[in-house]
Amino acid sequence: MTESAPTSAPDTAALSEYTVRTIDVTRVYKMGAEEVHALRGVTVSVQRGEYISIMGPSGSGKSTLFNMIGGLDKPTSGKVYIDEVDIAQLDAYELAWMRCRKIGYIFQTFNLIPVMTALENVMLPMIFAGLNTADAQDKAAEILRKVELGHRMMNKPAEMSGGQQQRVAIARAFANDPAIILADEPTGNLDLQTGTKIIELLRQLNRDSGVTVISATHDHKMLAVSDRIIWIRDGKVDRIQNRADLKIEAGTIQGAQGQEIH
Amino acid sequence: MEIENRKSKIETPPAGRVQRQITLPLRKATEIAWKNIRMRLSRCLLVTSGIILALAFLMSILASDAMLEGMRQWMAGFNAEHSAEFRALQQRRRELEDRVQPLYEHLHLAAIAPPPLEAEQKKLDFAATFGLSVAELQRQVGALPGPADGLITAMTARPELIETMRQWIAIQGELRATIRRLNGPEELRALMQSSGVSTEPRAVAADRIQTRWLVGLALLVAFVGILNAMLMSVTERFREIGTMKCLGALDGFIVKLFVIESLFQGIVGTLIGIALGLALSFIGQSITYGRFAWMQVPWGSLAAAVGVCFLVGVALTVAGAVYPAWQAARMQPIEAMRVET
Repeated sequence: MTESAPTSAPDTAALSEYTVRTIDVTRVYKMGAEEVHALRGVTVSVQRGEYISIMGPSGSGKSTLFNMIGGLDKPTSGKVYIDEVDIAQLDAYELAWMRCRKIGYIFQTFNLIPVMTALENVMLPMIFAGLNTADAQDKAAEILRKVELGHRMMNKPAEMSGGQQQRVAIARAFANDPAIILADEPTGNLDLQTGTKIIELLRQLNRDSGVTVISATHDHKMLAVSDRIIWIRDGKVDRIQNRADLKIEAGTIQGAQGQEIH
Repeated sequence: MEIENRKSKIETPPAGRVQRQITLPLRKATEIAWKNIRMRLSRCLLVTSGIILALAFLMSILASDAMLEGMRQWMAGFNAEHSAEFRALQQRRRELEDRVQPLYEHLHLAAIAPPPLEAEQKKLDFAATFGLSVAELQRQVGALPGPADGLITAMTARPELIETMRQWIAIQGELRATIRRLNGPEELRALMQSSGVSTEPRAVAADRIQTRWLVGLALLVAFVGILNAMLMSVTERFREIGTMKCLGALDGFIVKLFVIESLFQGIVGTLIGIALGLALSFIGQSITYGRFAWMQVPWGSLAAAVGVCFLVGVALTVAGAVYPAWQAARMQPIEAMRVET
């Protein structure tokens, strides 16, 4: 994967454009009388079309930052901009619109609606966006064919393998042509081979459509294809590695990662 | 991959602009809710069966009580001195007694001293002549005007007595029925006492308090049963609710979805439960009180009980589903998905 062409995503014109910016974000959870500082001032910027991995041990604030970026949680202080919109200012309707139209979510547990077919699952965000059923059906079928599931459209999630379910989830995430794809451990429940295919699919979609992909992951393969890796520790950005550094340090990263996880 | 080149009519606005999520029409929510019910039919039926049982219990208690009250009222009305029915029956009884008396005496005299038969004369076939055996007739109208053997011999020797006998059977039968109707309240009172139901005014008042307890208990069973079933069935869908929110569902849409689903379940379950409860109490009261159960059915109170049960069933079902759904919808989606199910 390291052999793939040097990063082409952020060309000079797009460099000034950020899909996600966080400015000095903190997040404090109240656990009874105790205050837990999950994030202690995180400032990161993600460019349009980038493929980002967020890394960090459990309890580092990685998940909190991830949820912040996804508009799933609001900061205690600081600002989070998604596609240049400050999410703290949004009301419920605007937030729902953002989730529907700007962000595509991919989960470790796939989270397909169990009673719906693959096609209906992919149609659902389009229905929420107000698209009529016939158009939604056409478009959902088209996306499903792109993730090579044209033959499983009428199957329910329970009738599909994990890899197939995750591909349906990816198709669903792309349903409304979002600006950002948020993937939370997308390969966490998949075997090595299937996981590799999912990563390749995500990378390919990222290249083809220019969508920004942000994933929280422990998966080496995922790190290897990332443009940048943001390491989180103790609620702060520990370091940010660029793809260029990544190639040089390939060996050390894996070593470092091993320490981080175990 | 040409995601940009799509057939959609939806325009993606430029960065920095945000719009308000549209509210989907009720029809869309109904569509999805209906699909949910169809796909989860077995789970749905399990939950609904809980509603059915609870409502059947409540309904049968209310209906049995109403029917018992109806019987008490019938008894009180019948016994009242000015009851037209009572007076008419007494009048009829006297008439019938006057008419049956000469027939009885005529047959009785013939039966105790029947004329001798000729040697080879065959005795009258009683069952063929009257359509039922002596024993059956006795069961129907009581004691015969004389010894059966004597009667048969008399009728064989004097065939004109057969017609007299027929008349006696008809009138005696009607008399018996009239007396039975006149004694109805006494019979009912005995039935009630034998099944432990009070008939004395003071005891009836105490009974009502007991019934109220029973109704309260039935309500509690319905309350706990239905709320538990609905809470369970919604809690196991928290992840789904969180996912839907991530996909852009508004809180109101999720609540609507669950209102429609539970309304459907509630109405179907409640109606079946009410029918079952009514049938149970009708059958039960018929077995215990026979014809008295149907003497004066209090249709008004039964209708009121059905109304109460319907409201209780549907309201509990909807409340039991919508409250947790609303809670889940209000949560941040990530929290809803984190809830262990």
